[in-house]
Amino acid sequence: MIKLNVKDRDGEQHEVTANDGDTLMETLREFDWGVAAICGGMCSCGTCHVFIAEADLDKFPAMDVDEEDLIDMLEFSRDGESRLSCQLTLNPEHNGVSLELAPDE
Amino acid sequence: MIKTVVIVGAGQAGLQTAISLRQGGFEGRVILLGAESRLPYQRPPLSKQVLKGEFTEEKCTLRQQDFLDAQKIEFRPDSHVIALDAQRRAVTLEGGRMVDYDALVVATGSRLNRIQLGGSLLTGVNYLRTLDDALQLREQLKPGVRLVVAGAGYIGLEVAASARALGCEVSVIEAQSGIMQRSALDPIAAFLEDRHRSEGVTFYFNKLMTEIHGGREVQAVSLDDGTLLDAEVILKGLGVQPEIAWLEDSGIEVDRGVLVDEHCRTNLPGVFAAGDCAQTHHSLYPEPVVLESVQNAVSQGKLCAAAILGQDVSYEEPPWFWSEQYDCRLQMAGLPQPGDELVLRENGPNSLTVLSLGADRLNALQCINAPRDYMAGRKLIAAGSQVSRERLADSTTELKDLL
Repeated sequence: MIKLNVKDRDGEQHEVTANDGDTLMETLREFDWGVAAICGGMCSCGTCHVFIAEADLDKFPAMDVDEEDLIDMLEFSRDGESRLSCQLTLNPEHNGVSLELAPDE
Repeated sequence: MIKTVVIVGAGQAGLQTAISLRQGGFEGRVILLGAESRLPYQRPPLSKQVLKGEFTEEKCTLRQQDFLDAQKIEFRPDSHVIALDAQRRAVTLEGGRMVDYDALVVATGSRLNRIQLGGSLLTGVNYLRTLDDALQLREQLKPGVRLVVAGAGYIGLEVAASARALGCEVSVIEAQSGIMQRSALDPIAAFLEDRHRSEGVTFYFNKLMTEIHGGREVQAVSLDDGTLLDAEVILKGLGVQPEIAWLEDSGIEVDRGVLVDEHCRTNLPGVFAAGDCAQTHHSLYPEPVVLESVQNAVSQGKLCAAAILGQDVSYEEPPWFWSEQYDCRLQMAGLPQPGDELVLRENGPNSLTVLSLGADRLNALQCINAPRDYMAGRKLIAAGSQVSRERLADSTTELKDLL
């Protein structure tokens, strides 16, 4: 069981259950407060942008250059916290991870 | 008072309309009519990840039934809508049942251009539009199989790239003199054409497929210059057109697609249109445009919902598109206009940015493996401000510094 603590754009907290092997984006788009993820996970649009809590960041693999470049161009990106949720595949190690949805661009 | 919204078409545009209606606080009924049997799914992976076996069917699903139930979106698969009665405010399903609406969203997408040749019914002749089409094609793309693709547009080229990755031999036949002639800027098309050649794809330009040969299964195709190509699998990638035949005699205004204003409103009261089937007024363009893309489907879905909710939002977002072929990610924004000057930025190996520059503003940009340029370019196009040609061409200046 993977449970995540997610703060939505209105500051409301949600406990979300995710499936092993799904991306974080796939998990988050299932909610009406979730991410838009327009490009469907191609690292092309930046509409699945999230902030990962500092303590949990190293549970995910480092960014590749495409993700880094795209995040760099987003208005609301935060150094060291921003990730594109479509690039993050979840496994049981991510149980308890905290994150926040970035504002819409 | 709008109590029931009926959405015809459960693709990206239809689903987005439904989701956005709920997000906007709509409390009436939302009925989403899909022609296929499946839950709403995304099409971009069909020619890529699905063919290569990287995505399961499940992975293409845009929203699960649980989500639709929670949102009180009444999704009805296998619902073929055949007519609109705008007087009665109802649509007719195959079999004669009618569904009444207070507001109607036409989101029927596109249908394939089909060209019937001798041999078109043989086993091994494929089109690619639906997930079922993709799964069927995937079964046939075994290593060593000879694939002939008719049409060097996005679908044809993405399938060609996927098939090469699967170990197929690939030939592409195109009536024009190069690839992606309808939408890609010349340097981008040339870059990708080279890439396909270096991956082993053979092109036949300025040629038409005239006949498909075989007993029960495809064995070969002939071209209009007499060339005969041995083949086991054919893909016809001949483009699409708006799926609007069912609206004939409804009184709805149609040109190439259903004509809508910048709020997705048609000429009929209470009737809206979104996505591939719509031809829309857009604040950036003088003439209404048909945009076949995920972005347009999503943007117009949101606009339809806003219009139904009585909000004043209009279409201003520059159109954007993407494609993937091999390790080339092509990202495009805006629409090139006649008379534009092309400006190239050299980005180093396996990367290219081409800007389509009007008299006083950036009209479009197309990038291969250059997401920084792409994201900044999108903003430059949206801003519509004066940009200097010299600085655009200077690869040492970041595009975001021109904002």
